[in-house]
Amino acid sequence: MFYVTADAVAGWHEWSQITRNQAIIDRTYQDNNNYVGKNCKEWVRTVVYDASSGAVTIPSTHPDLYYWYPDNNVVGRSGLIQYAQPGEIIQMKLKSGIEHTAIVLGVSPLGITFIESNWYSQSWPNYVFTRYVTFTTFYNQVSSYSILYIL
Amino acid sequence: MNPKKTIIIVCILFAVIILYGYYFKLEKNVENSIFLKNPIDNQIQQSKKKFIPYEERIWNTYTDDRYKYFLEFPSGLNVFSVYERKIEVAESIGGGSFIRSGGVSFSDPELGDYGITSVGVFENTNFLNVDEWLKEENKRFKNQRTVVEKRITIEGHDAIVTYVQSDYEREDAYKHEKTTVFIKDGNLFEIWTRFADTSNHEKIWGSFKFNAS
Repeated sequence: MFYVTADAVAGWHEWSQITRNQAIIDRTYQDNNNYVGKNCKEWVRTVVYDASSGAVTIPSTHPDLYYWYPDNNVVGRSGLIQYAQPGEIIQMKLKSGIEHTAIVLGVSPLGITFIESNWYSQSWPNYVFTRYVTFTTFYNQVSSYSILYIL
Repeated sequence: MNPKKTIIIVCILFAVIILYGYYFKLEKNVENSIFLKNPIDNQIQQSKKKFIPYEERIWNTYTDDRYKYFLEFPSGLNVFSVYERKIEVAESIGGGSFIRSGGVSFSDPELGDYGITSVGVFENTNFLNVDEWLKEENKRFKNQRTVVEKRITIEGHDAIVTYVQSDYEREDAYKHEKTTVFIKDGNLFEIWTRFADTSNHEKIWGSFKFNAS
């Protein structure tokens, strides 16, 4: 006998939040360590669009740079970075005045691991890499940030 | 005054002083243990460290021995140069790989080695001019395009200063990030810059010069 689970038949919006977050993470790995030709926000938009099979297109960034315009499928929440969840998205404004968007891969007792495009240190623009940063360093790098999850 | 009364008053004063001292010490301990020693509060304290804008810093000169050029960059950045780097392209945009013959990147250690500027060189390019490069660049993506902000000359070579526009963002959303492209002797140079203050972009490409040979 075959059992069909709810997830197998339901669409993106019917999945649990953990399943949606995991689908986002799964999609990010396809591009890890590769050149994607897209900056941080555009790459995240592509990831979310692909992961949700076109169900969600993330909205544009507010001119303040650290949060997005409202959208039915994107929920912003406040909170310490320590409490971000894998698969959530961080929109941050760096102290240099530049915006950056990254996806949370994991959180450990002292820091957080992001996967992101266009951070680059010893590489080149529009590359996707993972990056670990301690909470202390994170707070030293950003002037403001928001945590977002995708419905 | 009655000596008995005096003794009682002195004892009361003494008790008040002791109790006040004990209360003060207790309060300080609580403050230390709950607030000052809380790692989150420590992080917030440290985050107040002042960031010096790039335009206010002293600028240094980077010299590239292989391609014989120099340019200026803000002090305090890490400099990393690499040659003959194979770049893997994501399957999601067609896959494959290409070689970036040489280049240098400048990143800010204060921001966790965040990339600020890079110069990439592609030797023996097939592009005859910068407009051909632009045309090819715009073939790759559906919802984003590279647009020309202005045309300039760098050391007598035609160059374009470009930035990316997305269908989903306001037109100037990514104007803080520019790619300036020119071709010299069959080598394509890409000067990539990322600054909030627009004057810094111009300062980078304006300082780009080839060594007199």
